[in-house]
Amino acid sequence: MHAVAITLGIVGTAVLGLLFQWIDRVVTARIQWRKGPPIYQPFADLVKLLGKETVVSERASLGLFLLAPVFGVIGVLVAATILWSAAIDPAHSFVGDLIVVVYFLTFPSLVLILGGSASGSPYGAVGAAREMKLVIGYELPFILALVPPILKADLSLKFSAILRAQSDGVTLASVGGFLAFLCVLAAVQAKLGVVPFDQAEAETELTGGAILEYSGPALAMIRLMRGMLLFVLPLFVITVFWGGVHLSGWGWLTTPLKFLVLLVVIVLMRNTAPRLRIDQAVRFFWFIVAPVAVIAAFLSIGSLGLS
Amino acid sequence: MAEDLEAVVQRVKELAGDLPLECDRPRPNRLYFNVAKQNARELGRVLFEDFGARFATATGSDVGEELEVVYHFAYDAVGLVVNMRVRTPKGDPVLPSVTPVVPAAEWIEREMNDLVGIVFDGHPDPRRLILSDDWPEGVHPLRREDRDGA
Amino acid sequence: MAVLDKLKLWGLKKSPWVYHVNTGACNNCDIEILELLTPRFDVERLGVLLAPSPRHADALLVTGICTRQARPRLQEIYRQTSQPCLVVCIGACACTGGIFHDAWHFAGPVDEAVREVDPDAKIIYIPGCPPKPEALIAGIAKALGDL
Repeated sequence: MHAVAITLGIVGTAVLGLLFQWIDRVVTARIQWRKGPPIYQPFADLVKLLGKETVVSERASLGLFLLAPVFGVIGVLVAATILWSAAIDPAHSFVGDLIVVVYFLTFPSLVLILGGSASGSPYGAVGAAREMKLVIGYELPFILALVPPILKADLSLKFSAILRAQSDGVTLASVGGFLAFLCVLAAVQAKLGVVPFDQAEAETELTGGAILEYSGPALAMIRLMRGMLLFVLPLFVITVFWGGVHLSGWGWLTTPLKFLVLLVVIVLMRNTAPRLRIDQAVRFFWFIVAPVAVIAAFLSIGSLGLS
Repeated sequence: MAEDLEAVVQRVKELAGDLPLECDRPRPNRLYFNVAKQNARELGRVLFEDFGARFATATGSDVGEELEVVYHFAYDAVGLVVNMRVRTPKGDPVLPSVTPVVPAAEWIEREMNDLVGIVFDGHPDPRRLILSDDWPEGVHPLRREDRDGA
Repeated sequence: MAVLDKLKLWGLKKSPWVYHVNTGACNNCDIEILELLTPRFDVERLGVLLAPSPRHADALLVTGICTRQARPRLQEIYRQTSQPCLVVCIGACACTGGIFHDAWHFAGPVDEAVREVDPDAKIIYIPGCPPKPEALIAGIAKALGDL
């Protein structure tokens, strides 16, 4: 039973990830007055990449270079499994699963750092260095911004408690919760590696940066990981801040709407903001997002008394 | 336009002092100063520093028995290009470089060296510029006899 | 396995990522290629994306006459491109050398340079000086259809 559920979860995450990638490309195209690709496009990209040859530079560290994408996919899948089980069966969650999800969600950035450094190319090295700086920038405010939901759940890290605590009002309905939600949105934008925080890839400067040297199935894994992340991160945000996934009654309408709102916000930010310089990005996270997260945490202490 | 041209000719002749200059005005808005090669660098300096024209580019060509270089200085105040023409016989393809006084001429002189075979005496960095590394020495594609390449 | 091969081919046809190589062009063809990405022609509908590196590319859009200096570099880029890949010669210069065929810096048309590295290279030709974006789209669509 569990094996079937987990397989369905993996396939479901992949399919929804590809669908979200398509929505991203179509919304971007429409903003640019274009038509955009057909719905099967991300799937076609994946199939094509799986059929190509993997060219590896002589100077690359072969093992790390090829293993890095696998780590990333595993990380996203584990996070997805935990979030799916929290969504489908909130009663069964083990202690500390918020921390576990946050931990596994750092794997995709590691892919860029390790893969970029192992690629043997100066572009990869610069991309990896930038991603390291970016991670130092956003991880702290990201974790700080998770304090309000934890406070609201009476200092419990279990998803079941977080979801139960939101039954009387979602986390983002309070001032502190909403501020924390905004901080998490900024961190999500950076985790996804989209403009204004795509310094590691930087199309026009580093021509691909950390993922430049990847080709064939390795590149397919990275794109799949990105697609799944585009689904898993909104799922995480909805679970912790927006009352979670409800697949019953009105939930069948409101849940896809929540996903759509988050996705459209991410895509709009992507298409309207310029790419920040890496020092501007780190300063943004340390001196603007982090203080806001701290203020949000203080404002949420009030909710500790209620339960 | 004609008054501007005459005014420019007067001014340059004034600034050049004793330098022997020949002035050529084939059309109302074309101005050439023909100068002997030993005076080329000095006239270049006069046009660039004293007169205040902007160095645009230079043209090197093979005109039969001689090799000719025309330096184009843009005088933006009236919108006129003041040209400085220098010639040298093909048997002695050496001209003084104006790069020491007009630094922007460095690369165009290297290119003329590659393609027309003019040697610029006094050039700070006379390396090959645009011909590929495996191109044979001594073959200059823009000379009439080397038209078909290597 | 026939099914896998068919799937591979389907993927290649529906998602051709292009990498642009200028081997000594006057830039006219390059501008026409750029126009394909603009809203008026929008080749993303066909799945075409501009790849940042030959490693990500399925098609090399080659413009220019392949000068003596560009020739070894074009061959190196072809070697670095992950197979299977298509070489698209865009413009009269890339197809045959155009008006520069007898010029001193001409080092063989693009297809000869590529065939030196890989005799079985798949090369398609889109003539024009420069070819209109409509011609480019028609050429690419026809080539993908014939794959």
